[in-house]
Amino acid sequence: MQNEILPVSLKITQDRINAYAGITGDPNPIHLDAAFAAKTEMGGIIAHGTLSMNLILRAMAETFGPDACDDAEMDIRFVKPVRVDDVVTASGTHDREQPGRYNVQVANQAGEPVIVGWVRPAGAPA
Amino acid sequence: MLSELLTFDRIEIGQSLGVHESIIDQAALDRWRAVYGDDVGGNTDAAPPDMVSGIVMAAQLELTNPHPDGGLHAGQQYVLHRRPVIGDTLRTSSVPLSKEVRKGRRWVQMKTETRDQQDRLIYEAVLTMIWAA
Repeated sequence: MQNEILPVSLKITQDRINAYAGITGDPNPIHLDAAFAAKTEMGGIIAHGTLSMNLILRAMAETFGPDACDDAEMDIRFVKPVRVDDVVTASGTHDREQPGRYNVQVANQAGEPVIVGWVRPAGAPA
Repeated sequence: MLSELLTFDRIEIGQSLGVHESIIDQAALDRWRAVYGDDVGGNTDAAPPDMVSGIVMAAQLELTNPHPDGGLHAGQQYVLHRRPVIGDTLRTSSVPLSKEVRKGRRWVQMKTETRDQQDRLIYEAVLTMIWAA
């Protein structure tokens, strides 16, 4: 098996957040309304966590091919908010102690993990 | 859509929130590609793997609508069984699995299941959220 999941990056602009809110039907003002978001514990607008999470599956498809995402598993935690104009990158490494699994993360431009977890591509040992 | 605001106190464990229906069409794929760019490996009639969250979250949000503003996602688990294709009608159901207050935060877990028009399993998910109120 490959040792690495190829990195995939995305810049999280407010336009992209707005478009994603439309697709998912998620008008949560913490993503869209700067005045509302400023009053929350986040202290400002944060992107939808799944907007960045989806890069993990794109990276998996990039590495193994889209078919590897059929009958695949993913388990992640959101550990740090993503802010407007952050550039996030999904990547992963094979977990030698869990055959078939890859430890994955999405990190911001400072290298700080914003999402951590694991994936199991299709065909990998369960 | 629910008749009353779905606050933490109103969430009933094990009580189905209903079923949300969505259709995979070209417009849906185009909207997704407008955010992420072309699909890895080239665009086809199949929804890209990363679209799972768009489909599941849209259903989940609709099934819990209206709910208090300002909630957060803490974690998510997915099993992707197969990619839906243009023309598929997807039915996503959602059931609250657990809820508890920890360190002043209202933690909720919901389990969703998405099937196509042939009742084939497409996606399973467990969504962990911090409910706003």
